[in-house]
Amino acid sequence: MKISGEYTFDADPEAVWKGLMDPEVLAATMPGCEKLELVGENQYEGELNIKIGPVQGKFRGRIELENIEAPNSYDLKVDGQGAQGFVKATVHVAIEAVEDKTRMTYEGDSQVGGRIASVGQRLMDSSAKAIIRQSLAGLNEVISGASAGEGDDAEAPAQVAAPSQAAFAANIAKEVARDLVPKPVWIALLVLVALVITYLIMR
Amino acid sequence: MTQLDDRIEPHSPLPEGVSAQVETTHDVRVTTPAKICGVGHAMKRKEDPRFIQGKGRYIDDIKLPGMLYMDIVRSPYAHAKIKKIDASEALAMDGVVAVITGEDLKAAGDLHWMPTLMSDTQMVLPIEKVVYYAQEICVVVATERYIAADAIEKVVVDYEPLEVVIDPHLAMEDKVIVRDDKEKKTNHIWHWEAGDKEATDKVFAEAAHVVEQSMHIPRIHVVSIETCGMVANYNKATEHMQMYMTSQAPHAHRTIFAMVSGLPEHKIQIISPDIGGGFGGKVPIYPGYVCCVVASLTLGKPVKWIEDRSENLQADSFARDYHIEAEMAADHDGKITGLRVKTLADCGAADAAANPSKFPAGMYSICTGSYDMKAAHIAVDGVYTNKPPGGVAYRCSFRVTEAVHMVERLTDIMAHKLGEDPADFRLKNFIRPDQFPYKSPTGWDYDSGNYQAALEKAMELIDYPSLRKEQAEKRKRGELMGIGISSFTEVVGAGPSRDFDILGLKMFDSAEIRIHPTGKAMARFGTKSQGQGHETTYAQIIAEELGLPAEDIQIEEGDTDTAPYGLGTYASRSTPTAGAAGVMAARKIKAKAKKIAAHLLEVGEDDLEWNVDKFQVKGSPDQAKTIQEIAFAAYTNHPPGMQAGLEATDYYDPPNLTFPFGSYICVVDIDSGTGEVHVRRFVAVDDCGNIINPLIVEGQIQGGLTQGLAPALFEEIVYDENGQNLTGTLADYLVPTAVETPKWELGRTITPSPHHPLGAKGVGESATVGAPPAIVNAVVDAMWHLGVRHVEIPMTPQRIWALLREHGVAD
Repeated sequence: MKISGEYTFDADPEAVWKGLMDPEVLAATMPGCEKLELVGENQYEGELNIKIGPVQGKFRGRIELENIEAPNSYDLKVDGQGAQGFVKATVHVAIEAVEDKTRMTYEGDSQVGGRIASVGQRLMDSSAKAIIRQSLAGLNEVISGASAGEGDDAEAPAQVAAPSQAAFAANIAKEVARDLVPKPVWIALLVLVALVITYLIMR
Repeated sequence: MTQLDDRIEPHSPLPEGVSAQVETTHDVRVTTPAKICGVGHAMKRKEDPRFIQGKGRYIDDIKLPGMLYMDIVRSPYAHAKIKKIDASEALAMDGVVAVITGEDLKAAGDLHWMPTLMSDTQMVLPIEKVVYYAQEICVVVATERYIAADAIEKVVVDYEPLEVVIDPHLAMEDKVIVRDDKEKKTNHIWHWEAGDKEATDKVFAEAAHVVEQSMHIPRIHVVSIETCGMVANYNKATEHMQMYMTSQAPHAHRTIFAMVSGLPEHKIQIISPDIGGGFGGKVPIYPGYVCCVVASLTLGKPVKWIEDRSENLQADSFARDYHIEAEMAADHDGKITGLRVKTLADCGAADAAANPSKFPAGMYSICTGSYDMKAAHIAVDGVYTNKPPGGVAYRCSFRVTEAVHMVERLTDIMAHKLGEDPADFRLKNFIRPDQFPYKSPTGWDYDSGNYQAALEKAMELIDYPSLRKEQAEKRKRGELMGIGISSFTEVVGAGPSRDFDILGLKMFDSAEIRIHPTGKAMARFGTKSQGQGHETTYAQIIAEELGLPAEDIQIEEGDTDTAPYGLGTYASRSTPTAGAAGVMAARKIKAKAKKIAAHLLEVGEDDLEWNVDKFQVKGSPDQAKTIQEIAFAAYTNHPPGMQAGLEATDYYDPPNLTFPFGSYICVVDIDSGTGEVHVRRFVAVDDCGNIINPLIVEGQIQGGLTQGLAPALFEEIVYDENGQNLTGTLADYLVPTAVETPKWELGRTITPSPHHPLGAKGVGESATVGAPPAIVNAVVDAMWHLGVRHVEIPMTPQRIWALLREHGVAD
């Protein structure tokens, strides 16, 4: 599966870079991320809880940053295994200043196997997109918040909770709709899906 | 187990009379009144009342006291080293009783490997490495099914991924070796040839016309409604192992279990209860069965294992997967002269087909089909890839589906190329009835056939000339309509013990009949119905022979402690082998009954004649004894010097195979906008010799046609380049429902088998074998004028849409 896209942060490249290199910030913004620890130079180990369609499970994995060219780009290598399968990915991440903001572009390949791929296959592409978008949106919130309040307490990152399971599911639904259905229809569908999810959570 | 040698197909000479010219009729022969319901009556199935009331008894209905449940940890990699299996977290869970790994099986007596039915070997549980996606890694046994399912997720397996080989052509390059446990470090398993190469090359050198086509018959799955399962119940006190098992061949499985495990065979009982569809998928022994048996042996408690649907779709033996390159030669008059075929058989990680040992590519060399030609040569290579093992004969007599697909496609391509109507071309090239006894260029002695009669009947039923007219008019308007024909010849009823066996066990089959004093009967057979309706068909066969009402005959199969030894049900072999054994056993009983009747009537045996259900004195029909009276006498007043009782057993070794055939005509309309193929009409004329129950035969053909429609339009097991199965659910693996299925229009001709005691041939698989090429031929026929020469199956809308665009249709 190819992974590629871009995202614009409401902060300068330096702040974005700092966020990208901070495991605590990343862990806080990634949906389903339960742990992310620095275990060596530019090496992290973590746990991610993923639910795709009928498949739910915990992945333990290692993340490595390579070819770091601060503060412009790095290669992100992910290698995760869990009872439901495995994930392997190499993604090139680059940032550049665009006026007073920062544009990130990412591009890479991922390989997913096991039950998560054979059973959750139809939802996987959309789920991956949802995870990435949510992570980046969360990251943006933290970074822009942090850079706005800089000078007061630059050490402590703003507290942002990782999205809940329901929010994550709603986002996957949004991605599926985006892929499958023309825009006016997917907005309508989205409302419907949101209602159904709300109902399921509330009952 | 050693690797198979390269070898040439052998055919032993057959006795006289097993191939003959036989007259063709159209009406089902009936000789008994309705109250007896012998052969030819459309009797409603005796087993159906319990099925339609939900009273069938399948494996998952078996519940034994103290029963434990097993679930399987499966590999997420298609090829990887196993570095470590850590089951501590699973074992710590409440309710988890045991975890069994490959090391445990090894310690229990090298049970981590087992033979396949094709004399290859297969891992039960791996120790060094896994060789296909979803391979069994270890099993967890727990007190509840749900606990077992949760526990398998707690087993942590550390893998080191290896390079994967999925494409069989790449596998032949031996860059990645799938089976490094073998002495020869190669993926090439065997090479096999049939026919005369020199004669074939000569025919091709002299040919006026040659067509060639490569095609892939993709990997598909049998998708029986009931998945595989077992309840193993070992009694440590009596040392008796009872296995309830989804088995199409319980006796053969018992012997294999005994030989592999070392358990004495008299202490093993396999019970195959009601089975929800087998189609060849319940012939192999899967690792799950072996693990379940070991779990029960070790724990001394009953253990149940039931596959879930995804496991069934991903890990059970596949069917087909032949990569074919074929050429056909014809002379100036458009007469087919030869066939030359090369084929790569993708066996997956083990050759686990259930072919007779002499035939590693099964009956594939039947591929000259219904056509008379001078010469043919077939070469097949088996190759390992990182995919689940198999090669089961899915509703197909050992690779005849692949053979029929290939020859029917090539025949159609040749007809089109020569500008001849495909029906006329076939009529001109068929083996004629007066050519029987007929030996094919690859050595098969066809028992009987009349291919002209079947095709002419199909053409009449569908009004072929009008369809061609309609097609010409539609073509002028730019509409895509196609007509496709398939005139297949099947080869079933394996088989004569000279040439046919499974792991050395000869492919005879058996029947045992016991007539009770009150004139009711019990009969047991060595086969095992999986929905074919044996309880009805066999009862009608015995009713025909003995005049006992079919209602009064109880049929039992599937319990190895009670049924006589047989090789099971697959390859349309039940009626040709066990059915014939039933006839022969009934005739032994009849011979004894005649002696008893002579004693009772105080006449000589020669003075008696049989009349439906009684022996009567010739010229004095009032003096008679019915079979019921004779049965009573057999226990109450048997002649002096004769043993009491009225029973007989027969082991029937068929003198030849049977060769059912048929002609199918399919009409399709193609939506050029979406690429969707709509099967508008489908006429199927089948000839399976004498018909025992027309209702059951019709049901078999309707089901078979739907299972032929499936691979033609929908089904394929798809792997990505890493060997990941992408069709692991029924949302991705598309099985046709009633919505996609057209109305099947059936017809028949009857050309009896000259060697079967009832003239029957077997019909279970004909339709699945014959239908796919009829549909493909129709689709190609609709697009031939655009330049389309072939379409691979499944003919999905995407595939057709792309082809149409490629050939300039863009609306």
